[in-house]
Amino acid sequence: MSDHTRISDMSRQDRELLCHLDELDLKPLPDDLSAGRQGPALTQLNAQITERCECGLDGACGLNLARPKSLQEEEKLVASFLSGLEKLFTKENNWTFLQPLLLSIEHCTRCQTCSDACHIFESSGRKEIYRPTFRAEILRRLYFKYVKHGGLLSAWQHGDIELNWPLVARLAELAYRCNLCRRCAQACPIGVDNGLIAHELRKLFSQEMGISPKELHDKGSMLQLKTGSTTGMNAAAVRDSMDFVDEEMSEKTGLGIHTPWDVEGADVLLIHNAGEILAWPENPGAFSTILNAAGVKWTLSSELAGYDAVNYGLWYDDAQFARVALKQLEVARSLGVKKIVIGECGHAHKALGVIADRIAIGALDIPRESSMTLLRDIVQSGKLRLDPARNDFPITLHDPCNMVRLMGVVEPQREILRKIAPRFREMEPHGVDNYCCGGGSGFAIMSSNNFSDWRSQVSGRKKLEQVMEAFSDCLDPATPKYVCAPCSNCKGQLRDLLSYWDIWEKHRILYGGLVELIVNAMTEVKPGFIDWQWR
Amino acid sequence: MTLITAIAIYAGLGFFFAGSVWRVVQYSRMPVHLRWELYPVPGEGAKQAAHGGSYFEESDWWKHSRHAHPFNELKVMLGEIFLLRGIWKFNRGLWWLSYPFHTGLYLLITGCFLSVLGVSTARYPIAPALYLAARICAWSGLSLTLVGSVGLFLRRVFDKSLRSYTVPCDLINVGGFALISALILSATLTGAMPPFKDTVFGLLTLQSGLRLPLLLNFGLILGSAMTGYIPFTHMAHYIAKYFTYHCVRWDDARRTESMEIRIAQCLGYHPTWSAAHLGGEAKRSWKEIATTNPVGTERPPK
Repeated sequence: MSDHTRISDMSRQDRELLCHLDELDLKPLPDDLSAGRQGPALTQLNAQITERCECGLDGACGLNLARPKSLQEEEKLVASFLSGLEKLFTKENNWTFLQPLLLSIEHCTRCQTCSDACHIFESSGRKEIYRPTFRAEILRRLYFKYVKHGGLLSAWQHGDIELNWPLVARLAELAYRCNLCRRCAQACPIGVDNGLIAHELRKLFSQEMGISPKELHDKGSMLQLKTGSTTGMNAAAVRDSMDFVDEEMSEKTGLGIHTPWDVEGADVLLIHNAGEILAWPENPGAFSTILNAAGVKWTLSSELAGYDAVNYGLWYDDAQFARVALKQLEVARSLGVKKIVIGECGHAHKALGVIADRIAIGALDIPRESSMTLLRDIVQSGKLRLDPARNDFPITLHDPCNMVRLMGVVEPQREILRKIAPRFREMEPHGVDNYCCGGGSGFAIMSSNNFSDWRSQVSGRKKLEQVMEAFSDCLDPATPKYVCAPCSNCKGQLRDLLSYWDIWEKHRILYGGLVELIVNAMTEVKPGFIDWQWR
Repeated sequence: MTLITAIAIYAGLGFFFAGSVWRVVQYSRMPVHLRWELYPVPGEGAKQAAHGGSYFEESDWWKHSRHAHPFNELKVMLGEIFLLRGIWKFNRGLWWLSYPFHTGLYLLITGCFLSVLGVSTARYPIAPALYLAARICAWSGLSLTLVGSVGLFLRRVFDKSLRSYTVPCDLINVGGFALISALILSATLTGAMPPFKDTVFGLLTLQSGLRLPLLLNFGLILGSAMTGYIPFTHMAHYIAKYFTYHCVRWDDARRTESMEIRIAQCLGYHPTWSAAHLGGEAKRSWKEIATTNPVGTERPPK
């Protein structure tokens, strides 16, 4: 279906969707996975949701943004948006990203070079609303009209736009149709960053209007600041859970696994994504196995936020980001550890390793390191006896955007795989050019209404295509295959994606972390650490 | 008329330099921002830059001294400026139009520079060679600019993905370059031109006796207006690009003492964000907000 959506359509007062996602419009998948599928690509929202929430964008509803009950309420919300828009461009309110934001707003030539770099735009069958410049152009026009107070001349120079509640509501939802993977920014010859613009829009909605997905805010950063973890686990619960993991791992590996807690002066404070402990306990268990076997003096922390590396503020709110990052650094300072090592969590790498760098001043300047480098050093040191033959199955590597394109940790995980995985093959493209899993920027944990459909049908589609092509020579289910994703959110997305498309049943493709493969290769561990069972 | 043209040239250049300086000052004075780099970062050095890696790949990276590799950055920058490598890699169709357009402008700038040099060295034997080189640059520059700008104009009109985002000003900008190039080229081809060196000398020294074809006068006046207008538009990406690359995309600089002072200033700002979890209305500084837990902390039982 041809797509003639225009920027002015965002202000349309009717309740018709701007974009209809139909199976036949989406990019076909390899191995005829999508053959024969037709009709709406997403589960239709029920009448109760459409009556209650603003869902006028594309038929998906991730924000659950309540409809205003009166014209006065609409006007109030638009005024609030306008107030936030002005604040976004002042140093007092947005010193954190003002320079990159203004550069991106003022210098885009709208050449559309970025469009083909976007997996969402490509996978959707090039739906206009997903073009990286679409939402950026809206913010640009609003900026010149309402912040710079441009008149007719400005409209002629930068384009006009009508600000009303339907536009604000659609824009809020549209801010959550970008994975913030910044592949588009990589392609821009001028250096304009449309990913950043989506990020800044999210901040405007959260910091001024209190609008954000509940999974990121109420059940995310707020819960983490209250209990210590976005999982809701407090210190007692996390220790109980890890005790259970230790027992399981001891039985599974044949080694006595003991996870140390709150060891003052340890060389390494390891911070996991706490979701791993509940969803994939073999991952923290494998870390414990490796670090103990390598003789590392390490510890976990049971202090608030010290046992959960996640920092959802990275995706939508500077204040929440800073609060969580500072708490994590404070935990490390009070324990007197030599360094923090970030577990297999991509966005925690970026948040604590890179972005927090400029707020970790004074005593909070605790060195932070990726677990990829520590694991690489351990594997290369010979401290572990490793038998690559135990990993003699096809393995491909997914590159978490936050760890790779946005932090430059590219090779350590590959050095490990080359040593322990004889049938390792790259997906294409890979490294800093790889595509997002489709769950980036919080999507992996967002599942309101039909949002997980959208993730599997649209944002994750390119990753599925890459995985299928990487294993195109061995798709037969008789051969088990492994997608190594050293990131908790990416694993969550892969789990949902592979499950949605029934890939485990059809092709025996499993996903998992990197440490599981290392332990699977350790000769002192009972063979068969990796369970070839869907989870 | 020609005197007006000469004054317009000086005015255009004046606006261009003043506008460019204003842009540089505008972006330079902005507060330090949080890190937002994007890999590959060429300043990382050949080993890491080859695969897009960073110093974070080294264990205990903070213990090692960092060596910047400005030559690698320069190599990438020159390729980007003079060959438009980014567009070549990601948008080949556009490169065939954008490359002649930009190269045309570079040649025109070189031609102007050589002309001024020719006037300055008029007494020396090198002057005729400089004038000849300037003429070659100016002619080839105008031709390439004309080809490129007409191509870009047509692409904006006929390519659906560009047309939807094109505003009238875009067409006037790119059409303006085409018109100016066409006017000057046709004037020099069809009009009675004084010798090149006399033209340059006369314009530079505001000679009232200089007579130029009408079309050339129009072309030069329009060209001067365009030159003065560029810094105030998105076409100022010759400046923006320095900042987007060096201060954002490639900025992997570790914190320094002077940076800490600037950050401390920013942490002292009082934001006015209104959402409940921020407290709002300038009551607290960024530092106070960042160190305040917005929820009643449930002290974790040990």
